[in-house]
Amino acid sequence: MRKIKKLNFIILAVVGAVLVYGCEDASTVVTESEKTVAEYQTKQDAVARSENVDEEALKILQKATDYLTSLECFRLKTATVMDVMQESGQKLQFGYTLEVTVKRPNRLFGLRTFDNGSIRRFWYDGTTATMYDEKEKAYGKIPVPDTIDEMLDYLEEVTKNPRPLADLLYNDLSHLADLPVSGVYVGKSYLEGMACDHLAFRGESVDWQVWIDRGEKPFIRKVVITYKELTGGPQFIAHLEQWDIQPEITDSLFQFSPPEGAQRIRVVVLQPEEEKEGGAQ
Amino acid sequence: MRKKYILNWTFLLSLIIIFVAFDMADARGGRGGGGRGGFGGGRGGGFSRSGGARMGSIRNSGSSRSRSYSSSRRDSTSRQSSVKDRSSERRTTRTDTRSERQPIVAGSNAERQDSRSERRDTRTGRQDERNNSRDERKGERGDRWEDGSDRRQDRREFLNDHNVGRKIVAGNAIHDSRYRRREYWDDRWDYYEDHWHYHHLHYYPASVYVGMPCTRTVVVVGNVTYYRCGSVWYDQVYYQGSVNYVVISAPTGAEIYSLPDATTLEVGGKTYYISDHTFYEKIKREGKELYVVVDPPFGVEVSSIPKDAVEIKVEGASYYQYDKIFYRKVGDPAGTTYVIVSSPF
Repeated sequence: MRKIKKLNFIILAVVGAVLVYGCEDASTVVTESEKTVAEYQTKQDAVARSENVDEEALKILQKATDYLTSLECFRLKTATVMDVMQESGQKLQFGYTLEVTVKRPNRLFGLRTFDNGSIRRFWYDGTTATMYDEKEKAYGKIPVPDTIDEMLDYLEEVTKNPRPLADLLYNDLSHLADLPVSGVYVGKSYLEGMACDHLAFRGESVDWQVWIDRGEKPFIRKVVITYKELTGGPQFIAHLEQWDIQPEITDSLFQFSPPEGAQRIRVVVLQPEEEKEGGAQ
Repeated sequence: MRKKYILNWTFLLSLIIIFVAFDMADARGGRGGGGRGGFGGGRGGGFSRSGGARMGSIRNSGSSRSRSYSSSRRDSTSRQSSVKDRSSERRTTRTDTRSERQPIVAGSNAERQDSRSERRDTRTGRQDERNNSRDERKGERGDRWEDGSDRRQDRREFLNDHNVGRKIVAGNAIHDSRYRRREYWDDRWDYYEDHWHYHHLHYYPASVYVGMPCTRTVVVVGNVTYYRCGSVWYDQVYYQGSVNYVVISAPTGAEIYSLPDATTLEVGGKTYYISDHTFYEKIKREGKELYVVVDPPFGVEVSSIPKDAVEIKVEGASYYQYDKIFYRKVGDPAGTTYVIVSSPF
């Protein structure tokens, strides 16, 4: 009996020593292993992604995005609807039409007409983004990065100005093929008589579907984004009704000049908590 | 005896499972609420017409980035109580008047439960998430986005190019023009260093409202349009891409003919008239007496502060901020008063 107790004590001591030794070196071990795990995970994710994204779907998508990014200038008219979850849990649908003109790499003009009559315009001239609300006669103006891609990222991530259709406006659309964790070719589908390929992709936090014209020019004809992480799974649906690949434009289209009586207002973001407490942590 | 051990282990395991399940449920709940809470309500009959910041592009839908900001907005305990008060007050207002008033500041109150240390953890986690998602998106953003330092460097260059990072302290000059007053929200250089950050934008610590609690009264002061609802003044701002309203202190130079319930205060040989936390001076024009809003003198002690004032901390010191006016609490809990101080920024 005494022997057993002694043995137990020895085992306990050995286990303790191992634990202590392990803890001493924990920081380096964790750092190294974290690195290895992260690298491994990235590789695994890439493998998993390539296995889950249907090649045919990816090929069709790639063709469409290649074509779109090859256009130096285009004008697009869309009709969109968007689910908006109310505090009550009720899902309401609102819509707007968007007419957007893009001149790569750094000019953009957008006109959104909402179903409540509100009209908002947006100018980007390579240095400044200006937003104007016609009803309020108020405009906000901020300097932004010098390419469409960075500008759109900036607006969405910093000013929290969501632009679901921005995906079609980037100079580089490779993210559409890189981001999905799975993708399938759903089938052939007709949109107002136009034969399209219907593709469906799943991302980390959104699922999205895209309809691509099977004609000579692989225009994207419809986009549906499902925000699956949000309660109620609201959707954004855009019918890309008109593509004009040779629009008549002048550079003044992208320049904002304040209409008479328009007032400049601040562009604000809510102050993050860390910021309020005296800057950098 | 053995049975007892098995039972104990089963009990322990159940407990662990329950804890994990709750933890996951919390995490999901927190995420769901993040960044959306403030959009319930708005103009046009009280319905929200915006899907919120999280209904954005596919490109920016990566969970790490879309969640990061809402995490960073979790507030401290001190703020929490004020927000709670505010939200209950808000509910009352909405019920009574079918008001459109909806502070975007909030998110769900549950979102605000995290402590500062938890937030730090979240930030660390967020950084990891960002690193991972950056890897995933390799090629997407080119070399520029390959690591945080490159990204910060890029942003720093952008800020330099735009002469940002300088500190604009408004002080007494804030009444000179609307823009000067506005600019004192600028200068977030340090914060930018560590985060993904902002410039030429204006930070607002108070609530942003998507509507106003009553029919707005338009008041033009020095060619600048403001909006008033009772004694509360508002300014139009762009927030998340659309025109919203923020509560501001009464604009300096605004005039009013009568000032009921005002108290008077002598400071440095001047007589101030105080009403609803606003300081006025009496002037005479064309034989008529009127009251003009002036900047409150620093050092004056007041017994209360506006209900929309927000507690902030600057270098460890606690302040209460109401637009351009800053207060510090003095006295013991039994007899708390506030002193008007200059901007700590």
